[in-house]
Formats: sequence, structure tokens, C-alpha cells
Amino acid sequence: MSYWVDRDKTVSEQGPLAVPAADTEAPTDRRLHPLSWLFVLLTQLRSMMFPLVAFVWFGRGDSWLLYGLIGAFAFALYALIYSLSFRYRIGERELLVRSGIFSRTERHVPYARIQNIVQKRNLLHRLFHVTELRLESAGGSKPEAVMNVITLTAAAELERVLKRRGGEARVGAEQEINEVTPWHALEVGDLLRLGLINDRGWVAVGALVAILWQQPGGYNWNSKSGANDWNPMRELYSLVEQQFGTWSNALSGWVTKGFSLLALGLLIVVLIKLLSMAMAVLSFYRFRLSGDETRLSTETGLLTRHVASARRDKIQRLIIGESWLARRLGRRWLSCEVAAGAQVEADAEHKALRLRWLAPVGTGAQIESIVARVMPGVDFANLQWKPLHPRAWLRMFKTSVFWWSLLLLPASILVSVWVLLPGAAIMLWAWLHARGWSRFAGYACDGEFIAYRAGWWHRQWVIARIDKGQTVSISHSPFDRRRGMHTVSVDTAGAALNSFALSVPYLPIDEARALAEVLRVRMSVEPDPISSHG
Amino acid sequence: MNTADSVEVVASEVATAAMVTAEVVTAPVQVREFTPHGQLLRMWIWGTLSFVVPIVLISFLVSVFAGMWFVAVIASVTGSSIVAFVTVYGRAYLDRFRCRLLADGLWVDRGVWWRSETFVPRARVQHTEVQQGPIARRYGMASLKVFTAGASHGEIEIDGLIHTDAVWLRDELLGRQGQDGV
Repeated sequence: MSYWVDRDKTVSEQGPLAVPAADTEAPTDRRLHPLSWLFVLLTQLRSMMFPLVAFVWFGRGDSWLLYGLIGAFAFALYALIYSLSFRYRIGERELLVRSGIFSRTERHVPYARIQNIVQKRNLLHRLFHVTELRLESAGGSKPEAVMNVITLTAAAELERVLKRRGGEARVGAEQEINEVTPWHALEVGDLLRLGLINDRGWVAVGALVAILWQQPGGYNWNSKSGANDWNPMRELYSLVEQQFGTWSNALSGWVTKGFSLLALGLLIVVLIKLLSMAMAVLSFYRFRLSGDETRLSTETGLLTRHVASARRDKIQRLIIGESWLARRLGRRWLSCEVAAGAQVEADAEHKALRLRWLAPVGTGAQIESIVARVMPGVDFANLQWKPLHPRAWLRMFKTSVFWWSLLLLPASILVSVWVLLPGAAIMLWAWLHARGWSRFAGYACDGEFIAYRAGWWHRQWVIARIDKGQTVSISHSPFDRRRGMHTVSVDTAGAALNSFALSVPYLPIDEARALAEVLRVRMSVEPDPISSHG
Repeated sequence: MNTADSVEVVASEVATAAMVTAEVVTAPVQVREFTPHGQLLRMWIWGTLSFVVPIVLISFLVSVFAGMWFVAVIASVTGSSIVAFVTVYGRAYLDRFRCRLLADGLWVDRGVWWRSETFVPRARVQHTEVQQGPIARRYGMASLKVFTAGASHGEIEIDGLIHTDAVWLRDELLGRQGQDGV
């Protein structure tokens, strides 16, 4: 086809890296899987789900159904045309993607620019042995290419090509071995343990409540008005109320009532833990982390398999976490953050698919060995941790006393003096928290890496290469200045807003300034061009 | 800033590893310092007056016609304290404001109560933006936005610069842009 711009050819003819013609087979156009239209249609329908349901629900009647059918037909036609028109070509240095019938889009994606590769295979994909594949670069407003869907062999070939022609890797024997033996793998036992030590179940419960809340009349489930609308939330509430009423009447005395409340609480905790285990199995069944010289990839999931891979030099930060229960069982978890364009960043769906968990659960030694492999030069077990300001805990405690007093003192006058009793308990808790938190908190900086840790019952660590920092800043409030403390923060790309910030608070002023200066000087050195392909 | 000597001494304590020694941690080389536009404080005060004065006038009308004298008193007291606050705070902010182009990046120190010093290395600047509103244009004032790939401080805005300074700074920051550093 004449309209293909064969950029590769001119590059390989003129460029110093020209490859002998005998080695390269003529690139051919490739199509999506013949069943692609089905998956495109399903993706379309899923984003249209709510309007469509509302359409069918509210517009009861034959004519509405007819319009609905016409709409669905239009979608199917679009899906068919889209998937038939989609072509891609594996060139020497770049991938050529063309889509569209009326307005054609032709996209040249240099292999060296591709940072994140993501695959999604739900049950339907797995039934037909196909996969949805996305390629992301650091910039741009959307993924460079979305292939919905190609066969598993085609996907494997594409990944192989990306590895080989990414501009920095050679296929070696060592790499093949690495692919066979994963760096980290989880069995069902690990997953049950993971469910036990984290509380993802609460997230599920929260989501469920939110959904039930949105049912008609969900906001006033307590009132008896609009009783003809069936509402699960109200049903649940009245059921609990009824049951509890019967219990309360049947049980005499505070002791039995107390015990039954305790039993109810225990039951809820057990249910949450079971739910957490189920969710852990669902999302991390047969989890595998593997890596080679240039890329890290993970594969995970029970029903829907997610395969994500990212360039190792584009990993921005490592975050390690540990709950109280995890500490008892000697387990931790490790996640990473990879960079992507600002717009892609905003897309929650893409974000969820991207490489994140390097070890959803693992022993301390396992986590240490993964950290050492992902960030060569970091000896996590022997980092030279330095404490924060000796009076950091006092500063922290006084802050909580201030805010709680602002709430509790007016309440004790307006409501009841007895408010001060739980208030005292809160103060005690705040004191314990401040002591525990600052005893553990600290930072480590060796000129190449910066690490920060903090927490009390729930502990977190964050590690980053200093040259991955985008900005470094010192900040302080009037309270900080009074106590002679400053905060030093390093901003990196790809950090989620709710993730553990690399921001070291309550440092003695001289130490904070010296640390910031070390970071500033290290960051100002232009990144090594070999390890950073723009 | 502290004296360079004491910073250097503590820095060598912080950087225990051999990689960063005192010789690497040198005092920053300053290229140029930027001061805010001379009319900035006046613009802030006029901006405040432009909504305080009408409200006070309306409150006077209300007190005259509805006979509620205390409305005018409250409005005048509140209004004048807002203007006084903006004047005092604005002056303190501008007195403390420091913006310097160093050999290796841009350094901004600002804030009155909550203060922050931010450093953006040249190599991390993704793009920049010079913005001018209609009033700012009249006074030759502009704000400069510096964007990095960072997630939480990805956008650093420096308000109230002299327009030619902002343009110069923009060109300077873009001119020597290197790798993206992501």
C-alpha cells in the first residue's frame, strides 16, 4: 500500500545502525483477531451501560425498544468497521498503527519510547486465547496504541520485538532463564495470609454500601415514606434492628448484652477477613513477577488476568508497607510507581492496569532481594537510618492536642462535661501515636538514593533514586520554626496523590538544609543518557 | 540562607557515603535574582478595595434606609481590617519573596507563615508558560508557570514578575533543557 510512510526504510538505509537487508524480513501489515469486533463492542457497551439501562428502563414501549436496537446495531457496525480497519506493522525501529475508515489515523511509535506494556485478559478473552494490549509512552494524552484484541502469540511476538529492539537490550541466555524462574511468585497459602493481614474487604464493603445507597430512596432508608420502593439498605437496617431487638429482649443483664455485642463485632471482623481473602485470591491468583535487563513484568488474577510490564529505568519509587498483623506473621508488601503522561495519569482505568505490585505479600528477605534487583545498589536491610528531630513526637502530639481541644472544649461546654472522658482517651492515644510514630520514623540518604520511613502500627517505607526527583523543597510552618524543624520533600513523576509521600518532616533545620543541598546537587546533574531514553 | 560553611559541614555528615563529599556539595552559583513587579502590592490592594468598597457602600445604604446602624459599623470594621491585612501580609510576602535562577535550576523561596523553598533543576523543566491578564498587561506584569513531570508539585507558579523578566526566565529555562529525567 503506497500510503504507508516507510520511515524505517529510510532510517535503516541512512543511519549508522543499518541492519543488513538479509536479516530483516519485509514488514507485513497485521490485523486484529477476527473476533475483535465483539470485544470492541463490549468495551463500547460497558461505557454506555448506564445510559443504555436507563434508556430501556424508563422508555418502556415498543418504539423505545426499536430505537435501542437501532443504537445497538450502530454500535456493532462501528465496532466491526473499527476492528476491520485496524492495522499494525512491526517495523525496524517503530511500530506503525493505523485505524479508522473515514478519518484515518496513522501513528508511529518508536520502540525506545514505549515504557509501559499492559495486557488484560478476562474470561471471554481467555476462552478465545486473545488479549487486549496497550502500549504507553511517557507523554501524550492517551496510550500510544490499544490493540483490542490480538492473539496471545501475536502479543508475545510484539513483546519480544519490543524487548529486542527497544534500543538497549540483547536477547541473551541469562534472560531466557530469568523468564522461566520468576523473581517472586505467590501460592494460594500466601494469598490467604495476604487476605488476613490486609483489609481490602473493607473497601468491598464500602463499595457495596455505596451501591446500595444509590438505590431509589437510598438516602432516606430510615423513613417509612415511599415504602413501595424496595430498598436493600432499608431492608437490611430493619432486619438488623428487628434481630437486635429480639436479642436485647431475650438477653437479660449488661454482661450478656455486652458479650453478644462482642460476638457480633467478632463476626463482622471474621466476615471482613474472609472477604479480604477472597479478594486477594481474585486479584493475585498465580501472581508472578519476572524481570530481565530492561523490563519488569507481572502477571496476576484469577478470572481476569492482568499482565503489566514497565521499563526498569522508568521506575520512580518503591513503597514497602507492613501492618501490625503482617509484622506478627513476618510479611510485608512492595509496590512501585512508574511514570506516564499527565493525561494518561488521570485515567483511573489505565492506572489500575499499570505495573504496580512487585510483591503483594512476601517475607522480609524476599522483599529485600526484590528491592536489590529492581534498584541495584540499595541494601534495604542495612540502610543507614537517621532519626528525625529528638522532639518530633512533642511537636506532633501538641498539634493533635491543639486540634482536638478545638473540637472538645466547646463540646464539653455545649453538650456535656462527660465529653472530656473520651477526650482524655483520645489524648492518650495521640500521645502513644506520637511516641510510636517518631520512634520509628527516619530517613536514609547515601547520595544516590533517598529513603523515608514512618508509621506506628502500620509502617511504610519509600525509596527513590535521587535523580528521579523532579523538584526538591524545604517547607516549614510557624510551629516548625518555633521548634527548629523543617520538612524536606522530593517530588517524583507518577506518584499517586494518596500514596506515601517522600516528604521527611520534623528535621533539625541544619540537617534539613544539608539534606536538601545534597539532593539539589545530585538532581542537577543531568541524568545519564544511557539510562534515560526520553 | 544559612552560611555556606555550616551547611557544608552538616552536609558531609548527612552524606556518609563516599559518593557525596564536601567537594561535591558546593554553594549554588547564582545567575540572576528576580524581584516582584513594583506595582504588585498596589494591585493587590486595589483588587481588595474593588470588592470591599462596594460592600461597605451597600451596607451604608442598608443602615440608612433600614435604620440598622450596626450593619454599617460591622461592614466598615471588617472591610478596613481586610484591607489592612492584605497590605501588611502582602508587604511581608513581598519582602520575603526570593526567586533566583541558579546555574543548575530555578529556586523560589516564599510564604509568610507557611514557607516553602522549592528548587527545580533545569533538566526537569518540561515546559513553561507566561501568562498576562488585561490589568497585568497594562503594568507590564506577568506570571510564569514552570511545569515538571512531578506528581504533587508538577506546576510551580511565580506570580507578579516583570513581564520582560518572565519572558527572559522562560527562554533561559527552555534553552538549556536536556533529558526529560523521567
